[in-house]
Amino acid sequence: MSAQKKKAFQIEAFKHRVVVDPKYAEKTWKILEHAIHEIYNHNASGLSFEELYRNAYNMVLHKFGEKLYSGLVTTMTSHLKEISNSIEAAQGGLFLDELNRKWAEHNKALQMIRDILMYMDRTFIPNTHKTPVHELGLNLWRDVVIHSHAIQSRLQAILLENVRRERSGEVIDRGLMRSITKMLMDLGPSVYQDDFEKHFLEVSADFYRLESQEFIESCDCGEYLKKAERRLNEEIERVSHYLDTRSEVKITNVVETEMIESHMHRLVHMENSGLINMIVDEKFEDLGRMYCLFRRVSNGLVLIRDVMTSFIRDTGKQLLTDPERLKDPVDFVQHLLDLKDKYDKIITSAFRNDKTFQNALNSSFEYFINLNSRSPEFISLFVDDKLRKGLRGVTEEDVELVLDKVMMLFRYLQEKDVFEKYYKQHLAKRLLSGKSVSDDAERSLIVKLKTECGYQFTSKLEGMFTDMKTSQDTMQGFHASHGSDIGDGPMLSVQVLTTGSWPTQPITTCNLPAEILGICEKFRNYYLGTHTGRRLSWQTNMGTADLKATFGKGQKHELNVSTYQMCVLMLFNDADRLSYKEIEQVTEIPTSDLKRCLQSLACVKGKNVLRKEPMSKDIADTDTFLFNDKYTSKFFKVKIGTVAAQRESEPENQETRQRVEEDRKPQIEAAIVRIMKARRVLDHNNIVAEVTKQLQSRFLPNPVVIKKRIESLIEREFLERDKGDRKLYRYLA
Amino acid sequence: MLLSKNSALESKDNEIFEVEESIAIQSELIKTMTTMVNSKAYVNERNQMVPEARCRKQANYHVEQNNKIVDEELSDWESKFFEVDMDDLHELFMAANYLEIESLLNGVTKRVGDFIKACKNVEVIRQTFGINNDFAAQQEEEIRKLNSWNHI
Repeated sequence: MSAQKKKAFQIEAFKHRVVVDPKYAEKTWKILEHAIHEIYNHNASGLSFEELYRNAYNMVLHKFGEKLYSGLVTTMTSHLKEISNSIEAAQGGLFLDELNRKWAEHNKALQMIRDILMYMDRTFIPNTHKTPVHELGLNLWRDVVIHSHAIQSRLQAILLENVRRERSGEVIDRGLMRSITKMLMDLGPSVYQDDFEKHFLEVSADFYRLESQEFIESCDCGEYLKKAERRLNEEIERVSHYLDTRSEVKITNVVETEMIESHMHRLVHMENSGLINMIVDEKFEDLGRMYCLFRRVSNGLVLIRDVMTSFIRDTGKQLLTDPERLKDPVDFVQHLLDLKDKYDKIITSAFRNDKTFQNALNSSFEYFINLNSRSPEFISLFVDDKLRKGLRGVTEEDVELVLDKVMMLFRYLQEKDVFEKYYKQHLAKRLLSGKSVSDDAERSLIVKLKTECGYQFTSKLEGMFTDMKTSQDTMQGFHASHGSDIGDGPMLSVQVLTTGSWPTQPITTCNLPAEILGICEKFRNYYLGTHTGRRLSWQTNMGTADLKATFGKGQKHELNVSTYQMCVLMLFNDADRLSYKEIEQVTEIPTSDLKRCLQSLACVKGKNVLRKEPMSKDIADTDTFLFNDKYTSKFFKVKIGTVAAQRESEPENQETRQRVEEDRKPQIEAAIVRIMKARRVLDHNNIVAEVTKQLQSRFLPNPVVIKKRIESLIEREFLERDKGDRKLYRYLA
Repeated sequence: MLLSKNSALESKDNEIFEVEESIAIQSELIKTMTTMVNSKAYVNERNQMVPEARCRKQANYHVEQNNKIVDEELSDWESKFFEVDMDDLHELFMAANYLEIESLLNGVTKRVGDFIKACKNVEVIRQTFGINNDFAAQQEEEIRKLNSWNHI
């Protein structure tokens, strides 16, 4: 650390540097140059690594790095030129082989050279911002060999030729291809892309364009899709075997564009094998394939979805406007369910449960179901049929399945309140005639409706069930207290119905026979005794009666008839022959009902307990009726005149419609008042929008009707028009 | 590995050192050589020529010791090791650079740094290290002006 020692050192330091003169540099370089030659000539075994390293080290240390570097460049370049020539000389198939071999050798040599020149790589090169040795080696290879005029084009051609041959089914040397593409990638991604990938993609596009054109002329849709899928998989495999993974996306894109996207429309609409045919023939495999392939292309799925949707709508519309179909509602609804099942199956198995397709299906169904205004009625009839007989002997789970399907159709309805009306009617008939197959099934359906639409919807329906139960209890009480009185008289069974819950019936007149009147009075007194303040009225149009009848030869039959029919038949206890007018007078049953009931008694084969003169089909005012002594029947118990729920005739339909409209008015008004109370002031369009939104779970209100209701409310001073703006309404508390 | 636990290293002045392999590999150069031995075998296995003279020995010594001593003792041992004169320091420096032994290189440079700090001004530094003043008078003026805040 002290200053004295340094003097001796000073002189030494100088010495070191001066000793190294240009000749030294030249000599050292020569040694290294020779070494590089030997390395390229596969003669490296005779060299001493350490010696070479030391020489390179010294050159750099003594500031001859520049000479070393440029010498390296020159030497390597000349060697590479030689190599380039030898590759060019290779014939035909051996070209790639030779290239590959020389490349491997070059890499080995490069590594050795780099090890020797490590010191330069680490110190000189970063300082002077030159290319490191390894990179330099790659760049020189690229420039001298690959981009040499003769080799570049030949290489490209041979590579593409190989791909083409493999595409037409020949086997090629994939390992060799792999090495070559790897070489290109090592040289830099731009080399790989510009020298190979770009052209590869272009050539592939042309190839597939041609091929797809060929296929589409000769194959049908399913076959074409198979071929396209096969080619796509081939390309993916090809990439995995000997191309850069980043090429996969690009080549699949090419195949998708050429084979699928350009022919999308033609495929879908192909005669006899396109999408529609596949759907109709339920070709799930083909559909699944189409889905997968089209998914890769933008707008592919949109196309499928649109075509499918319009087809479903058309099919549905056809179904709904086919008069044949509409004759049998149960059949009709069953067809709808089958249609839905079919498409559900297609979507789950072929379209991978794609949500967008589900939505499209739902919207199509919703569209065409509501095209026919009688759909709510038909669905209710379908349920009615099932609950009367269709579900007999069916397991509980299957029952649930059927009901769930019905619920699904129900959801599509826009006019749910119409359905409610019909359902109430049909339910009433079922309950009162005791024709329901399973009480559990009925209740289950009510629960489902409640979940779907809320308590309000089903409260009346539940009321009906409660009434039935209560009536049972009442009857028990009645029999217990009056049982002894009845004795041999007619047996009475009463159902007491709460007026609000049951469908409103017109009040009809009917004179009950004397035998019946007695017991009816007894019941009335009994009931009013226990429930004061109520009013009972007999619903003669809804009852049934069991009569024991003895015919000519003494054969007895038990007849199950409606109340009206009972009244008529009881008259024949006292007379053998009665005219229409007489019957009408005594019973006071309304004309149309009377005619219908007489028809079923006299004109139906196998049930004609009465004979009519003349024997025409229709009942005329001038007809006469006789008790049919000669009536025979195989069965002891004969059922007459219990008519199952029919689809309504036109006038009946109109009537129901009207009633529904009437019911809607107060609902709309209630909605309007509710909205205005909350908002205070609102303009016309907004009111209409809000009302529609609130009521949409029950029905779709008509804007004209809404307007009328608003005006009515204004008259009744619930609302007022704003003085300044005619379109604005104000709530009046 | 083909190498035995001890590798024999020969120095320029033909002295052979038996060094444990793990220590020898501390030198980057030797590490490269040994890996190359396995793959290319154009280097004689045991005979590796090293140009440095006695420095080699010292480097060896240093490296050996490095592996045996725990940290606190290390700094003591190190300061003793580096208390050599300029010549030896120079040779140690060259050895460390050539063989690329990082820890040795760090130690030496630190030492040199200490030397520079101890010097009072430029002239003293030049004397200590034997550096010629190759600035032209004008250049020197410019540089002094630029760095006047540094109190050169």
